[in-house]
Amino acid sequence: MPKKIGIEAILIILALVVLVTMPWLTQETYVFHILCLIGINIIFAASLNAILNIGELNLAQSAFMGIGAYASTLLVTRVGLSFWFALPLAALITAVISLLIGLLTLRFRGAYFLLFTFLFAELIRILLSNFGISVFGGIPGLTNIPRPSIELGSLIKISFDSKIEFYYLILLITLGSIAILSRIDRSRTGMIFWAISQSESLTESIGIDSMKFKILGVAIGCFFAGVAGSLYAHFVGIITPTDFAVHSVLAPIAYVVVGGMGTVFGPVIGTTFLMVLSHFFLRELGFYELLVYGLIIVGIIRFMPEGLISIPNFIFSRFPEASGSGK
Amino acid sequence: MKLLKVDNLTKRFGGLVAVNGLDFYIDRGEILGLIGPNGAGKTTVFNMITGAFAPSDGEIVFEGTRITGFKPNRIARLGAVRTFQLTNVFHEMTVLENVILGTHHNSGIGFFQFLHSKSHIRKKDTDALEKATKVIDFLDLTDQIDTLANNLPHGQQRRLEMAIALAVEPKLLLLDEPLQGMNQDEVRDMLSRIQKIRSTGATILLVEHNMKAVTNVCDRVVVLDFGRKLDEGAPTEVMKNPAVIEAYLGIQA
Amino acid sequence: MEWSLLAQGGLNGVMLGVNYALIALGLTLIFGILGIVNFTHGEMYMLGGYVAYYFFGHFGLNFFATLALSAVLVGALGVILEKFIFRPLTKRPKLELTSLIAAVGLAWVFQMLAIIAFGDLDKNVPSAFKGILRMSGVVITVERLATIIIGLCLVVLLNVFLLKSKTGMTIRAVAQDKEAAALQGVSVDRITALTFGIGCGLAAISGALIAPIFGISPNMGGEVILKAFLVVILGGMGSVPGAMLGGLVLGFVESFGCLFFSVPTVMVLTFSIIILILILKPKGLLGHA
Repeated sequence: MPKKIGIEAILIILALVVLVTMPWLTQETYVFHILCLIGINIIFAASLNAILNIGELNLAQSAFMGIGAYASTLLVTRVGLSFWFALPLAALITAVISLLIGLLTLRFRGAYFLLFTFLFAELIRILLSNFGISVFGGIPGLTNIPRPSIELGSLIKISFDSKIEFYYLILLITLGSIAILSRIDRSRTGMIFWAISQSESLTESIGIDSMKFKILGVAIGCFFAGVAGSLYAHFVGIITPTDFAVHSVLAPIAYVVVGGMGTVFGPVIGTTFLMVLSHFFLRELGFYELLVYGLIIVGIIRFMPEGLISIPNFIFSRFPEASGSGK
Repeated sequence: MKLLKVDNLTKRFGGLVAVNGLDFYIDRGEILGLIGPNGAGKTTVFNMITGAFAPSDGEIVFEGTRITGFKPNRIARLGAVRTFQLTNVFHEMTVLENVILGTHHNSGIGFFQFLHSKSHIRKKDTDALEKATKVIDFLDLTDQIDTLANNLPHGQQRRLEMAIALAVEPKLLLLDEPLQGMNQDEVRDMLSRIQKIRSTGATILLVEHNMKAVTNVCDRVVVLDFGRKLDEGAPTEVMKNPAVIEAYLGIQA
Repeated sequence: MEWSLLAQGGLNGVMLGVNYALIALGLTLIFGILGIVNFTHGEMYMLGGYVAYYFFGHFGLNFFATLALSAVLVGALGVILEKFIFRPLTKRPKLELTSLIAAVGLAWVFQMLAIIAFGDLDKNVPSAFKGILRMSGVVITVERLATIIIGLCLVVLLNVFLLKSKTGMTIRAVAQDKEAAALQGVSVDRITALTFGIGCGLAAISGALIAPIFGISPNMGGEVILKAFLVVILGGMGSVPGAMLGGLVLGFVESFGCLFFSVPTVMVLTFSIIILILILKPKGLLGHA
C-alpha cells in the first residue's frame, strides 16, 4: 500500500510544518495556551490508549497523572531538583506505583481492574485532600509551581515563562512521546499487547506470560501519564486533588474513542479534534459541552467503533482503485 | 517412555467431585484419546493438565517435571501445548501474524525487546518468519497467509489454531475436542491432518466426545465416566466393553 | 461509648446496608447475565430519587405507588438502553471494554441532563413516615425503620423470584450458560432485556426509598455507584448472596466507623479493608472460585 503511506507521510510533514511555524502565523496568547493543553492531553490520551491496548480501561489514569504532577512539583519545590530531572523522575515514580496496582489487579480481567482502579482514584483524591496537608496542600492543592528554565554558564539562559517558549517544549515532548509509543506499538512487544487484548487464553497457551506483559503495558501507560502530569503542573502552575479525580478521565476517554482506540494516531487525532472543537467553536455552549461529549462517546462506540481514524479506510474501501494495490 | 504421567488426579467443585482419583500416562510418540460421554470430566482433566486450574489432589508429571498447579504459559513453555474447544485465534491479526506469535517463546526475542536495536531484532524476526511459513505450509494455509483470521471460514480457523500450536514446537500436543461443530468433510480433513502431524513423530492427547471418529486415529484410549476411569486400552478392545457401551448409550438415550 | 449509641449505629448500618444491597443486586444481576459493568446504574438510582421528588413530593401520589412507579419508569428506560445501546455491542468483539465506555458516557449524559432538567441544587423530599420510636434509650425514626423493612422485603422478594419462579430460574439459567439456555428454547434476548430492566428498577426503588432521608441531587448517582461497586467486589461479581452480605458489611463499616473516626479516615479504612479482603479472597467473599 505504498500510495497510502505516502499520503500519511505528507499529512504528518504538513502538520509538523504548521506546528513549528505557528508563532509566525499568530501571536494570540489564547491559541498557544490551548495548543499547550492539547499537547498535554495528547500525551495523556496516548497513555490511556497504551493501557487500552492490553484490553483494560484504567479509571485511575487521572490519578496517576496526579501522582506525576505532585511528584514533579514536590521534587522541584521541596527537594530542589531542576525540572529537567524532576520530569523523568516523576514519570518513573508514577510507573513504579502503577506496578503495585498492576500486581494486585491484573490477575483479573475487565470488571475487577476497572473497579479497583476506580477505588484507587478515589483513594488518591481523599489522601491528597485530607492527609499530609503540610506537604500536599490539602484541598487547595499546591500553587506557584515554577516554570522550567535552562541555564548554560552565565551566557545562555532560556526561561520557559512565555506561552510560546513553553509551546515548543510541549511540542517536543509530545512528539517524542508519540514516537516512543509508536515504536513500541510496532515492536514484538506491541504485537503481544495486542494479542493479549484479543485472547489472553490463547496468548498464555503459546507460552507467553501475559501477566508480565500486562504489567509492563500498564507501567508504560502510567509512565506517560506521569509525563503529562509533570508538564501540566509546571504549565498551569496550580494543582489540586480534584484536577485528578475520576471524572477528569472522562474527556480523555472521549478523545481516545473518537480518534480510534488501539492505534497510535487515534488519540492524537481525537484529542486535537475534540479540543479544537470545544475551545474554538463550542465555547458558547458552556455547560452543554459536557453533554455533547457524552453523546459523542456513546454515538461513536455504538455506530463507529473504530473512530475517526477509520474514515480514510472507510472511503478507500468504497473506492478500491484509489487505495493503490489494496492488499 | 512416559512423556506425561497423571497420578490420582482429583478435582472438587464445592461438594461436587468432577474428577476422582484418575491415573493415566502418555508414551512418547503415541496418540492417546481421552473419551467419555458429556459431563464425564474430560474437559476438567484437560484444564488441569494445561494449567487453567489447579487440581484439588494428585500429581501431573511432564518429562519428569512436576507441573501440578503451574500457570498455563509455563506449561506451554515446557512443551505441552493446547488448542481450545471453541475457536480461539487472534481475530484481528493475519494468519502470518497469528503463527509468528506462536514462535515467539522459542525466538529468543526478549521481554524488553522494544529497547533493542532494530538490526538485532530483524535477524531473529527472519528466523521466526521462516519457521512460521513452514508451519503455515504444513497446514495448507499458504494461500491465506495475509488474510485476517476473522475472515477465514470455520474449518480454516481450526487449522490456524493447530498451526499456532505447532509453531510453539510442542513435545505434547493437547487437542480439546478438535472435531466440535464440524461437518463430515471437515471432520475427515481434520482427522487426516492429525495423522499427518503424528507422522512427524509428535505425541498427541486428544480429548473427544465423538468415539467413532477417534477409533481410527488413536493408539490407545482412556474412557472416563463420572470423573473415574472406566476402561483403558486399544480402541477396538475398549469399544467391546459392555460398561463403556452402556455409559455411552445411557447418556444418549 | 454508650451501648445505645452502638445500637443506633447498628440500625443505621442495617439501613445503609440494605440500600447498598438493593443497588448492588441490580449491578450483579446485569453483570451476571450480560457481562457488562453497568456504570449508568447510579444514574438509575438518581432518577428514582427524582421520581419520588415529583410524584410523591409534588403530585401527592401514595409513597408505595411512587416506589412502584419509579421501578416501572426507570425499568422501562433500562430495557430501552439495553436494546438500543448495549445489545448491539454484545455482537462485537471486546464487549467488556466497549460496553463500559458506552456506560461511562451514558452516565455522564444522564447526569448532565438531570442538571439541565432539575437544576444542580440539592432537593428535599418530604417524609413518608412520621414519628419516633424509643426502646430503652435507643431512638429511631419510623421513617428509617420503614426503609429498612421495605428494603428487606424487596431483597427477600427478589430472592424468592430468582429461586422459585419460572422466570427467575430462566434468568439464572441464562446467566450460567447462554448457549445451553438458547438450545432449550429460551429467548435469551427477552430474558436479558428483562434482567436489565429489573436491575435498573431495583436501583430506582432504592433511590426513591432513600430520597426522603438523604435528599436528592443530580450527582447522588455518582456517589452511590462507588459504594455499589465496593459491595459487588466485596461480595463477589455476579453473586446474589454476596451482594447482600457485601451491602451489610459496608453499611456497618461506614456506620460504626463514623462513630469513631472522621469521614475521610473511614473511607481510607474502608478501602484498605476491601483491598485486604481481595488479596486474601480475590473473587470476593462469596464469589465463584
